[in-house]
Amino acid sequence: MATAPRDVARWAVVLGTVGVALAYVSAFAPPLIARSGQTLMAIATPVLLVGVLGLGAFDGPTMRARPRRVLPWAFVGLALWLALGFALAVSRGPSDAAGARLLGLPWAAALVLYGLGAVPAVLLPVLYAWVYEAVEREAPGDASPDGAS
Amino acid sequence: MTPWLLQTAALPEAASPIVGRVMIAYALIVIVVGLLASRVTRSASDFFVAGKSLGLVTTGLAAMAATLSGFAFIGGPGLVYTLGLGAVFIVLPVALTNTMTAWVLARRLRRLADIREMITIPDAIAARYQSRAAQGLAAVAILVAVLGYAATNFLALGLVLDAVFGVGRTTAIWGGAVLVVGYTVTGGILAGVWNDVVQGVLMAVASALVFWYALDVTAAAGGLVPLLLTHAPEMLGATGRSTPLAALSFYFVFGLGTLGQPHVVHKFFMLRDDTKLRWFPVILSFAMILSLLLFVGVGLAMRALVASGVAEAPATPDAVTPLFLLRFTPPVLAALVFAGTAAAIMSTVNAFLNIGAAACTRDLPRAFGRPVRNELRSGRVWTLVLALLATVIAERSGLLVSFLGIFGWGLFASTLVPSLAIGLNWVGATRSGAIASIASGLLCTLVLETLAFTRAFQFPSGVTATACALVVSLLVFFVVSWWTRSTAATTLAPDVRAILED
Repeated sequence: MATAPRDVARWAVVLGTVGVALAYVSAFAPPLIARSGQTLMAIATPVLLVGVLGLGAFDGPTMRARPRRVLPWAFVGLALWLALGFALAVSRGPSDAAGARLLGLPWAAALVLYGLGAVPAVLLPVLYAWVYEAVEREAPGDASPDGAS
Repeated sequence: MTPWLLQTAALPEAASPIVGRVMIAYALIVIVVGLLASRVTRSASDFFVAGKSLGLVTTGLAAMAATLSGFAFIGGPGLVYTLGLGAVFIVLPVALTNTMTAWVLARRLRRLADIREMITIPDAIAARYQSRAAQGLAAVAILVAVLGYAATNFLALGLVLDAVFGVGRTTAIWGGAVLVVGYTVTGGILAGVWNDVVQGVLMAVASALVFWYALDVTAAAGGLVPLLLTHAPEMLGATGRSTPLAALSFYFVFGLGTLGQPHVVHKFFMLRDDTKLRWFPVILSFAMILSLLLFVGVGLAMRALVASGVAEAPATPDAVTPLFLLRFTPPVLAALVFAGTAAAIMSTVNAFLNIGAAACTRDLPRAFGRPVRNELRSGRVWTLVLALLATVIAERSGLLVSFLGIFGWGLFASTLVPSLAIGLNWVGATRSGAIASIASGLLCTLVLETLAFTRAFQFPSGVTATACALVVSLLVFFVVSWWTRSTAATTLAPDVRAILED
């Protein structure tokens, strides 16, 4: 069983959950603390969700096949991408819609719809299909002693 | 669950010959499908898990149809109209959840169904933890949620039928209930799944067409984005009119909670061959994105049209979609969306009744050590009983249906996400952790939602009872599992362990 990446994923889930819990607790506190709670929530939510994704994805066959080198980094990249997007989204006020446009949308709307919505919606299913195919192809010859990590 | 997920207010009247004819045609399709399915439903396995006979596309469309209730076409656009992009955070997690469900649950649930006789989600929990108590507790949570959710959906179906046929709310609720119960009792989940395929295609096509009309109509009035930037710029802010914490809460609850929706994830038991899962997220994502275009497009378009004086303001947010359809789209398309909305509700109710009946037929009797001999007959009887109860609650409407309806999504999420989604991917999870987590999720959801509903306690903006219960049940799951970690190995049967580790 691939323990190392799964352990990291499990800790990400635990820490993400604690982060979300603290963010909610901070909402009961004075405004200054509550605002930092929003930033914490923006970071903890992707850490938690991508951690769950990793728990499922870092299974034995995957970690014995070629994607074992790519997948963890892809998930780290995804968590960073989402956390950055959320942090940017919560750092700007609701009236901050005007200004530069991206593909026809104000940047704030583009950040949400394209950055947080379309990009992962397209890339993740493709990543899943690629990993699935690689694991299926390599599974019969799965005898690499270092592959079990 | 927050009350805005519930459609309890009357819709604008949509009575027109073509809308009525399309609805009747759709009802006939549903009846024929139900009759066909009843001819091949011969066992409890056929009734509850379609005899594990579904292909990939069917499973994908069925999962989508069960996920999207009438909220996607009626309540959702109304919420976007009210909150702007803040409401989009409800559907944004779809970018993650389709793939996450495949990685976290699909293959493991399907393989569990191969090694054990398994037709319900509590069955999977019982197999994972070798615990009838965990199975029984999960079944209780499912039953409570199903009753409330089914009642609100029967009410929503009645409101749609009343808007189209003008027959009065009571007649419409009972008419809709008879139709749904008819095909659910006779054809079981197979009838539901076959109807889901028709409905899924209908929803995706109708949603894409309505989205095109939304862009077209607003383009003629000056353009969607320019109109909003001129008249209501805050709608296009990153979190719209909702607070940042509220928007992120949407993302958290709907992102993680998806893994605990039994009427959706139990579709994986029905898959004929788990090696076909490769394209599952692609198919599901494509269908979901198409179906959710209406959710985003109509709410923003109506806000732009109302703010610029082109359209009159809707009386309630739920009237946004019907008003847009009746005013700005051809009658045939309006008819298709109304049929699609009714179909979405029927499909969701079918799935709920099915898992509720499975809880009464299989999980609760087994938890008490008294398995039912004829599960097919018992399943049909319980489907009828639950449907009757839900319809009576819906027909009485008012406070009771709103109160019960709030328990749906949140109860599923807080009781099933830790024990099922995390538990199937972590060999260190223990039986005590699972039982404590399900019990705390159940208790927290019931208590916190009741406090919030009765306004005995007011949460700060952005904090919801659902989110709190989900966090508490996760923390309890981890802490108790860690505390009882010495029992983790004894909790796992060797064949189940092999699936978890592979």
